[in-house]
Amino acid sequence: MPTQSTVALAGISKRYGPVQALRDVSLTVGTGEVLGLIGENGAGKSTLIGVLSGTVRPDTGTMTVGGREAPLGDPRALGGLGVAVVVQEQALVESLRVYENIYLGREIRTGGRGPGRKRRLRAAATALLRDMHVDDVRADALVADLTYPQRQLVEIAKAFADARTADTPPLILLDEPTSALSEHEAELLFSLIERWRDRASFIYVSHILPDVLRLSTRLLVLRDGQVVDDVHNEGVTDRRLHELMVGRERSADYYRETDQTGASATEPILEIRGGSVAGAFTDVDLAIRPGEIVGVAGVIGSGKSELAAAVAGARSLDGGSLTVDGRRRDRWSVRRAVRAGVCYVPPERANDSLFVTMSVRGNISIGFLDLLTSRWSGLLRLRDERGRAAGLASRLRIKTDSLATPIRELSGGNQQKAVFARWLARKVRVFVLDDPTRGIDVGTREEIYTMIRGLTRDGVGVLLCAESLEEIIGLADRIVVLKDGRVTAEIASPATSKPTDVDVISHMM
Amino acid sequence: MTHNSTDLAAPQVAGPRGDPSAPPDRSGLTALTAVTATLSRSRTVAVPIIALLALIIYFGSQNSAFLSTDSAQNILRQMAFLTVIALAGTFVILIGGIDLSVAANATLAGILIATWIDSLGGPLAIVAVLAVGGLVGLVNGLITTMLRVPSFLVTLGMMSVLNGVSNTISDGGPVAFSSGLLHTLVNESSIPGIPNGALIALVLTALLTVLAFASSFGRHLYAVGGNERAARLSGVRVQAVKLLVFALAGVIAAVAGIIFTGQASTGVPLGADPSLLNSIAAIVVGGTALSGGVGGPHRTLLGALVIVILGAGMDITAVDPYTQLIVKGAVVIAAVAITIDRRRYGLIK
Repeated sequence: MPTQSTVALAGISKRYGPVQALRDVSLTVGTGEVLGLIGENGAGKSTLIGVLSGTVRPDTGTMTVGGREAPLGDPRALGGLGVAVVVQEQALVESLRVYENIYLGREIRTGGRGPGRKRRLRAAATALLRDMHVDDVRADALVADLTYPQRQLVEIAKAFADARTADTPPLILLDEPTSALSEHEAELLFSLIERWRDRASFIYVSHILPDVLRLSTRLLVLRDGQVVDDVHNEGVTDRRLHELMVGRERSADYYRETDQTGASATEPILEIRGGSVAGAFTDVDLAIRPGEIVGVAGVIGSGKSELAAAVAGARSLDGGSLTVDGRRRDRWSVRRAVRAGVCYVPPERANDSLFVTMSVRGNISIGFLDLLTSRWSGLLRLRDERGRAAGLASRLRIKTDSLATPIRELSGGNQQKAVFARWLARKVRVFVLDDPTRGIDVGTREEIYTMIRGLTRDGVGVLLCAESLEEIIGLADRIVVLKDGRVTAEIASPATSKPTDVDVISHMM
Repeated sequence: MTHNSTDLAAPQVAGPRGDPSAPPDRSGLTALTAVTATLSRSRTVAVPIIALLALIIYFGSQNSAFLSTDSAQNILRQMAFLTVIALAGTFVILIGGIDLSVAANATLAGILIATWIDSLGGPLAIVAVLAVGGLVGLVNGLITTMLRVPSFLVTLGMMSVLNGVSNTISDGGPVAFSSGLLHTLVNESSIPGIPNGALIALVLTALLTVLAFASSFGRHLYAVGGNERAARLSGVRVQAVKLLVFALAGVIAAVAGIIFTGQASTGVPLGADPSLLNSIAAIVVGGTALSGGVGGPHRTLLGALVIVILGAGMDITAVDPYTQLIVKGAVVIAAVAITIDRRRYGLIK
């Protein structure tokens, strides 16, 4: 048994444009250890996992495996040194079978040469899956035919297969591995980790603190790209971890809770009754009233993002009804929603809302070109466009040299402000916000919160989805909790008595 | 020309720059950033202009005949057709697709105008030919949007279909006609020194440039080319924009076909087909990226001029035709390499 198997990072820093993703991070993890890695969204967890697995090359710092320097930014070489990774975005080849995926690139090492290799690989995979107590995935099944959780199990099996073939005890990186797993499947994973602990080391990333607390021997807390604490997991509470992560107690001030108004009328602007979207959510009732913020809480895959998309017209309902001002709207689309004042800020800025080829001005005015079109010529009033875009840019304090600057040159926060600005020239009645502060710096975040409060004061209703539970609790008047596509609770969240994380999480799991 | 001056605009926004909270000590750096940003933005439009001037100076110094009126007339004639056929493909490339059937569509229009002009009369024949061109484009668009077949393949197939139709109509031979209307429309000069064909090309470029930069449709087109998903999520009717773009490409290709037949004074089967590569060359050399969302009709005019002057200059300096092919091919590849946005593609295959 090799004794020197410790993986260590020292002085790792990584900058993406204006964002310092990691700042002088050091860590060690040895055989028998499960290092829990926690932090808020954007704290640098995924970047750190990327550095460890070789997909991210840090600007400075060193990595050693078993005392010897390891090549940074080289996933293949690090894989050879026993670093295996299970990431949120799956890395399986759909057109190949399970066993082919598990041993991809390691066919000869595991299966040997000559005829019968296929059979031997299949047998090895079958044994591995049995050892993992994964009963419902056959080694020769096509990955394309598997469900998302099943694929996640295959990913995990792949990491464990790496662990078996490596000469030294491997390091297995698990990045939010349970996000798509059922309780039973998650339990399987946990028992596997227990069983493999003496033969491997683990780094476990999850936003589910109780899981991290239960599994880890040590905890590394990241905040704004820095290690704020490296603690042994003894007597640490959820609450303490939470404080370490956000660096403060949940602050009423941060979320402008004194400005919280609540609904200013009883009649909803927009209402969904018995709404369902196949594969996402079922039988959901939802009402958004003027001036109120309705938070939607749930884990990834709970259907919350699809619910927001359905309200915004980006997906159509398969069942149930959607009404605006009491009038049923069966043919609902983004365009119709926008015309009715229902405006959408989708979750993935780069994919869903930004036009990187266009200027800041073009990215703003795309939301109200209809208001700029001259009735007699059918052309755009360009001076009007410039004026309105400049007005919105200064109102939201978008930092840019000029409105003609390509939007890609702006920071993420300013880009997101431009996405908001797109809609603010219209009479917005319902704002549908899906993770509106994802990857955005703290300062801009506060500005966005202030803006949202300002809108609700003017009678705008807000539907808010977010990864950060704290953000939902802080901002919302009322929280709808989704679990597996069904509403499990509706929790009041007035400024005077905010529910705790635990209150909400208990309905999410 | 009315456009939103995205490329060259000087900073003129008061709001965000006047932000009192901005640290004053960064202003030097900010100015530098602004200068480099402006340079990198203007580079793509400056490159074809510089290339154009360099080519004129070079060929003019090699052979003074290149700067003669005859030579200029020849360049304008070629420019007229190439600009229009390249304009036909420009919007399709701007939305991130490609129309390989524009040249074959132009050929068909050229055959049809020759076939119909004497029997239907000039104006009606022209309207009918433009309608057929638009219809062909609409079919391309319908297949691309409704059946979700990549435009590259739809229009490749369409190219072959149109070749077949053109040859069937013309029975594989030239189509003669007696009307003098096309000659007047294309070859004579309303403005002394500029053939009407070139005038048509210039006016069409101006119209399409206004459409691109100063209309909702134009903005939607750039949005679809820049990020189709984001366009849909901000309320753009993506399918409608695509259909309109393909139909418009067909109509403009028909205009090119009419110019072609006017210049040749007879309908020629496969006549316009060889200009497909040159038309794509003109578009990308002008700086419209094959990846979509960047460029515009005004740039296609520049690109067409570069391609035509390159060809005419090599003719006049007696570069042999095989070498000309090699040079043109290299120019296209270089132009694509400069303009394409690699971040838009996961893998380059």
